[in-house]
Amino acid sequence: MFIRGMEMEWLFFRRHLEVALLMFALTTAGAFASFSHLAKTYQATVRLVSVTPVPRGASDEDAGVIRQAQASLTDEDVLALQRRFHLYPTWLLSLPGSWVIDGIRSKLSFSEVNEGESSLKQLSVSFTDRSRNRAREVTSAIAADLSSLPASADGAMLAPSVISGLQQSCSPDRTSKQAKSGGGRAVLTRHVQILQHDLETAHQQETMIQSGLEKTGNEWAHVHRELVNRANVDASPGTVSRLNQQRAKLEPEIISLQKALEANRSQQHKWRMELAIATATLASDLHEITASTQSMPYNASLRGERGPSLVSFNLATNTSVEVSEALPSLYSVWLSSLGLGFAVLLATMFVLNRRDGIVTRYTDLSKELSDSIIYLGDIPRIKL
Amino acid sequence: MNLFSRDAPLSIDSIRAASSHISLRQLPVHVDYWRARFVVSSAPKSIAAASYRTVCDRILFSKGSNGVMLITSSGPGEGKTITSVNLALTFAEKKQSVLLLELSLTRPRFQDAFGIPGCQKGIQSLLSGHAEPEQIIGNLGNTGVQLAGVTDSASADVALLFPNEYLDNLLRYSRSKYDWTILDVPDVGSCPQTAALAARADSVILVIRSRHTQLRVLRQAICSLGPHLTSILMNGT
Repeated sequence: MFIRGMEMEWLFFRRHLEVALLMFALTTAGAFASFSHLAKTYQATVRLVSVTPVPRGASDEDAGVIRQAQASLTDEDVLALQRRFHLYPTWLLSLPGSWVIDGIRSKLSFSEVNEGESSLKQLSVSFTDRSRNRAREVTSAIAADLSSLPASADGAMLAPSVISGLQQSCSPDRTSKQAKSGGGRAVLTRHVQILQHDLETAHQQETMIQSGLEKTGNEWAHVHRELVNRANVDASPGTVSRLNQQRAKLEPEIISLQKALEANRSQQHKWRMELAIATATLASDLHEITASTQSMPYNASLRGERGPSLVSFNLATNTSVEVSEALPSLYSVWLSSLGLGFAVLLATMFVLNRRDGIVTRYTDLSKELSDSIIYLGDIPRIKL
Repeated sequence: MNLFSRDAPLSIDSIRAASSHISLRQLPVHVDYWRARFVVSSAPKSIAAASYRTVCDRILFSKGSNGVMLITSSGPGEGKTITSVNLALTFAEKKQSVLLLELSLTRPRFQDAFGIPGCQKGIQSLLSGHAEPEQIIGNLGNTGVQLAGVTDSASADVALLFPNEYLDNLLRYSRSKYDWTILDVPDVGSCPQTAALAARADSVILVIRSRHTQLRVLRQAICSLGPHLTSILMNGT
C-alpha cells in the first residue's frame, strides 16, 4: 500500500513535471528564505567616542586635572606624542562601504553625533550571521583592520599594541581587578597628581638652577672683563694670576649648572609626556575598557590638533561593541510565506490526487468491473 | 503524393518511401508521428505488436470470427485510434477482412495519419446522406485493411452520430462485406452518442491508459456503457 502510494505521487509528478518543478523551486526558495530568517541578522556597532577636550561625565576633579595637564603641553610634546605612538590617519572613517571580513560581506557605515562637548563617532557594521559571538569576532577584525593603516598628518589612530603599552606605562601597578572595581581610576588620578607635583618641583628647581647659572655666569663675565682690562693696562702678574684662578674656578660650576638645567628640563619633558598619557587615559576611561570583558581593546584613535594653545587633543576609542538583532527584511518574510503557501498547496494536491486515484494496472479495476467483462490484456508502452 | 488512394493501394513501405522524398514543408506533420505508433506494421517484432496479436487472438477466441467492434475510452488521449489501427492491421495479418471506420467526427485523425485528401468524400458525407459506402472506403496500402475517415471536419457534426438510417445502412453493409468492422468513436466522457453507438456494436472495448486514466472518470464511463461494455484493454503498461 505504501509503495503504491509512493507510485501515485511519482505518477502525479510525471504528469505535471513543469508544475512540480516550479513548486519545488518555490518551496526550496521559501525554505531557504525561512532558514535565512532563522539566521538572524546582527548589527554590531563600534562606538568611537571622541572627547573634546574634557569627556562628559567627568568629575570636576578629573576635569581640573585634565585641563591642567593639557595646559602644560607644548608643541614639542604633541609632536613627540605623534612620533611615539605611531599615529594613524582618520581618513578611513570617511570610507564606508562593503568589506569582506573573514568571508562575511559586511557593510560599514560611519556617523558622527555631537553630544554636548563630546562628539561621538559611531561605526556600524551590519551583516547576517547566526552567532552573536561571531558578530563580535567580525567587529574585532574590523577594528584591527582600522588600526593597521599607515600614518598621516591629518589625524591619528592608535594600534592595539600601542594601547596596551600606553596602559602599562601609565599605571604599572594597576590590575584588572582594581580597574574593574574603580581602583585603577583612583590610582591613575593619584599618578597624575604626583606627576603634576613633580613637575612643579622640577620647575622650581629649574628656576633656582637658572638663577644660579645666571648669577655664576654674571660673576664669570665680570671676572673675565676685569682680566681683559687689567691685561691692557699692564697689571701686575699677581693680579692677573688671581683673576685667572677666579675665572677657572667659576667655569666648572657653570658647566655643572648647565648640566643640571639640561637634566631638569629632560625630566620635565618626560614627566609632561607621562602626564599627557595619563590624562588621556583618564579622559577616555581606557583602563575600564580593557578590564571589561564586554568591551574590546582593539581600536582607538588619537588626533592631535596643532594650534596656539595646543591644549585640545581628542582621544577616541571604542568604548563598547553593541550587537543587536536586526529585523528580518520584508522580502524574506514574503518569500517565506509564498514558499509555505506553495508547500501547503502541493500537499493538498497530493492528498486530492491520492483520494481520486489513477489507474495503474488491471488489478486497480477489480472492484469496478463485473465478471462478464473480459480483460483483453496489456499493451506495453510504445517506445519511439 | 497522397498516401491514401483507392486506385493505387500503397504499402507501409511505400508510405516510408513517399515520406523520404517529400520535403519537410510538404510532409504532413503527423505522418511520422502516427506511422511510428502503428507498431504492427512499422515494428512487427516489437513487444507491443506481439501484445496486439495476443489481444487479437483473445477476441477471436471469445467473440468468434466476425462482428462490429467499437473502441472507445473514458477520456481523451488514451489511445483509441492507435488501438483501432493496430487491431485492424493485426486482423488483416490473420487474413481477416477488416473495415476501419473513423467516427470521431470532432477530432478526426485519419486524415493526418494517412493523408486522406480533403476534397474526397468522407464518412461525414455518408452520415448526412450524400455518399454511398463504396464512395468513402479505401485501402490502407496493401495491408488488407480498408478504412473510411472524416475528410472535412468542418462539416462533420457530432449530431450525425445519433443512430440514423445512414449509420445503420453502413453497419449493415460492413457486416455483409467484412469479417470485422472496427469503429473508432469518441470517448464516452466527451460524446454522449458513444453510449448509443455501443448498443449497435457486437462488442465494446474500453481502452484504458495506464498511469493516465483517472478512476473517477473511468467509473462514469463504465456506468454510461452499462451492459454493452464487453472488454477492457490497457495501454502503456
